[in-house]
Amino acid sequence: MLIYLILLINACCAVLPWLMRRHQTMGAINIAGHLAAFALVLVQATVFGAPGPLDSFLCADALSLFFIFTIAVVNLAAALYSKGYIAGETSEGLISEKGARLYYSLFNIFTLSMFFVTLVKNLGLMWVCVEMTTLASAFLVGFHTTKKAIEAAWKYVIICSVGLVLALIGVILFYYALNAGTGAETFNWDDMLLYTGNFDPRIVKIAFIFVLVGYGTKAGLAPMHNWLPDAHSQALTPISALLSCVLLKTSAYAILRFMIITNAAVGASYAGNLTLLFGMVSLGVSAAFILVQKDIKRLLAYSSVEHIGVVCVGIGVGGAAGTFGALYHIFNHAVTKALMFFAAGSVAKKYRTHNMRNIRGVIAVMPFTGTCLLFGVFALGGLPPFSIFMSELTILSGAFTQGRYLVAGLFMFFLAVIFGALVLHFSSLLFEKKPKEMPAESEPLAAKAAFLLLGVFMLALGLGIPAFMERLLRAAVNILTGTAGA
Amino acid sequence: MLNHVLAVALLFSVFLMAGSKRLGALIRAFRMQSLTLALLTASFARHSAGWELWGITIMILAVKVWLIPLYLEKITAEMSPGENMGHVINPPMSVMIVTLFGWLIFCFSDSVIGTLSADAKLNFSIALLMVFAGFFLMVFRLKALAQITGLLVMENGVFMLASSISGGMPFIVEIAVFFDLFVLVAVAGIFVYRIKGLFTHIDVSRLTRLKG
Repeated sequence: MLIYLILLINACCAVLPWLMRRHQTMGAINIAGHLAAFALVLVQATVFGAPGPLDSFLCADALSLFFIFTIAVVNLAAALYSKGYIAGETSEGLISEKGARLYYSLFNIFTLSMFFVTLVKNLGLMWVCVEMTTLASAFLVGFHTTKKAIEAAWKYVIICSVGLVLALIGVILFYYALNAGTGAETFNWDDMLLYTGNFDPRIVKIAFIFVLVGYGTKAGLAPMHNWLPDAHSQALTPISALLSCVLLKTSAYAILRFMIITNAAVGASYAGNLTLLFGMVSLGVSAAFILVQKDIKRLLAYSSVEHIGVVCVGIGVGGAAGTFGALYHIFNHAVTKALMFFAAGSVAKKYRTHNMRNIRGVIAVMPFTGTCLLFGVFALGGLPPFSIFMSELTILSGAFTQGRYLVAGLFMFFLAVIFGALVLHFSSLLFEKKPKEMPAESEPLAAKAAFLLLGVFMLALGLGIPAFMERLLRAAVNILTGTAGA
Repeated sequence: MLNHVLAVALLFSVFLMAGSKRLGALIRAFRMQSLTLALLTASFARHSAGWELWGITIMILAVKVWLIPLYLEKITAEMSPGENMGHVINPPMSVMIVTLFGWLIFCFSDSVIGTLSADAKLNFSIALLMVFAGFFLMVFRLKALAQITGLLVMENGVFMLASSISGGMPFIVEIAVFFDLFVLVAVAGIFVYRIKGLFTHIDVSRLTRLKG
C-alpha cells in the first residue's frame, strides 16, 4: 500500500508546479513530497519489509525495495539542493519562473519513471520506463540552451536510444526463448523464472549479450559510455546527481533482472564473466580519463563510470560476498557521488568555471562546501572509515575467497590509480591560496541539509550497516544468487 | 505468396534507403517501408483470431506512415529542403556494404534459429538487416534528421523481429513502445530545432565542443 502512496505523491509533485506561481513554493512542495516518499520507504523497509507482488503489474521484492530506497534517498537530497539552486538561477535570470515550473515537473516525471523501472514485472514495460527516463531527463540535460548543453542532450538521446533498441532486441529474444520452449506468452519476469528449464540456452546467451550491451549503454559501462561525461557535465547540478547516482543504477537493475533469468537458464558463470569483463574495462578506461581530466564535473562523471565498473565486477565475481558488496556499493556510491556533485556544482557556480586549474582555495572561500568536498574525495577514493571502503573491501574479499587473484589485483591497481588522481586534482583545488577578490560565503539552509543527510549516510554506513538494511540486502542477494526460499 | 512479396518489398526498402542521396528521398523510403510493414501485419492479422494485430496495423498506419513522416518532412522543409545527408560513405558503396551484411546475416540466422520455418527465418533475417541498416544510417550519415530516420528504421526492424519470431509482443507492450517512439521523435525533433537555432546547421559531425 505504501508503495502506491509513494508513486501517487511523486505524480502529484509532477502536476502541482503547474498550479503555482512562485518557484520558492514549488521547491518547498517538492521537498515535502520527497521527504514524505522517503519516510514511507523507510517505514516500509524497517517495519513491513519487502511486500512482494503488489498486483498483476507491480512487484516489490527485496531487490526492488532496495533500489527504491536508494532512489528515494537521492531524490530527497536532490530536492533539498534544488530549492537553493533554482532560487540562485532565477535570481541571476538564467531560469525564468516558467522554466522553474518545467524543471520541477520534469524532475518528478524523471523520478517517477525510475520508480516504475524498479517496480514493473513486465520486461517490455520496464524497457518503456527506462526509455521514459531518457526522454524526461534529456530536457533537463539540455535545460540551458547553450551550444554545449544542446550537444550533450543530443548525444544523450541518440546514443541511449540506440542502446535501448539493442536492449529491446534482447527482450524480444528472451520472450522468443520462452515462447519457443514452452508456448507460454508472458513478459513477466516472475513467470519467466518458472520456465527457465525449457529455455534454449543458445538463444538466452545471445539475448543476454544484447541486453547487457543495450542497458549497459544507459548504465554507462565502457566502451559505450561516450554520452555520459557530456550529459553529466552539462546537466543542471541536481540532475547530474540524479543521473549519476540513480539513473545508471536503474539500468543496472534492469540488467540484474535479466541476469537472474540467464543464470537460471544457462548457469551462473556465463553472465557473470561477461559482466566482469565490462566492469574491468570500465575501471580501466575511467582510470585513464580521471588521471588527465581538467573539468571538475567531467571528472565526477568518469568516476561514475568507475563505480558502475566496481558494481559490475562485484556482480561478476558473484557468490554471496561479491553480490552483497555490489549491491551495498550501489547505495554507498549513490550517497557519496550525490554529495560530490552538489559540492562541485556549488564550487563551479561560485568560481564561474568548471576548469579545476582555475579553482583554488575552496576551503577558504566556502568552508562548509569545501569540508564536504574534502571528506567526499576521501570517501569516493575508498578510504576508511567511509562506506565505499566497506563495499569495495567486501567485493575484494569475495574475489579472494574464490581464488580470482588476477581480478582482485587489477581491481586494486585501478582503484589505487584513481585514488591518486583524485587526491592530486583536489588537493590544489581545495587548499591553495584563494583568489584575492573572492569573498567567503555561506550556503543556503536546504543545501546544507542535503549535505548533512548524505554525509551521515556516507559515514554511518562505513561504521556499520543498520539491521533493516542488512536484512534487505541479504534478501536481495538471495534473489540474485538464486537461493531465495532455499 | 503475398507475405513473400511484402517481405521482399521490405528488403528492397532497405537498399533504397542505403542508396538515397537526399533527406526527402530517405523519408519517403521510410514511409514506404512502414506502409509495407503495416500491410504485412494486416496479412498476419487476417490469419489470427484476436483483434490485437488489427489494432497494431492501425497504430503503424497512424504513427509511422502518417504522423512521424509528416513531422520529419515539416522539419526538412523548414530547414534544408533538397539538402543531402552528409555522406561519410557514398550511396553506391553503402548499398554494397549493406548487401554484404545482408549475406552475413542470412548465414548467421540459419545457425541461430534453425528450428523455425523457412518463412519465419526469412522474416527474421530481413528484420535483422533492417536493424543493421538503421544503425548504418545513424553512423555514416551526418545530418541530425538522417540519424533520427536511422533510429526509426532500427525500430521498424525490431518490430518485424518481434512479429516474425514470436507472433508479436503482448498488445500493451506494443502500445507502450509506440507511444514511446512517438515521444522520442518529438523530443529529438525539438532538439533538431534547437541545434539549428544555435549552430545554424544540423550537421552532427560538427558538434565537437565536448571532448575528453
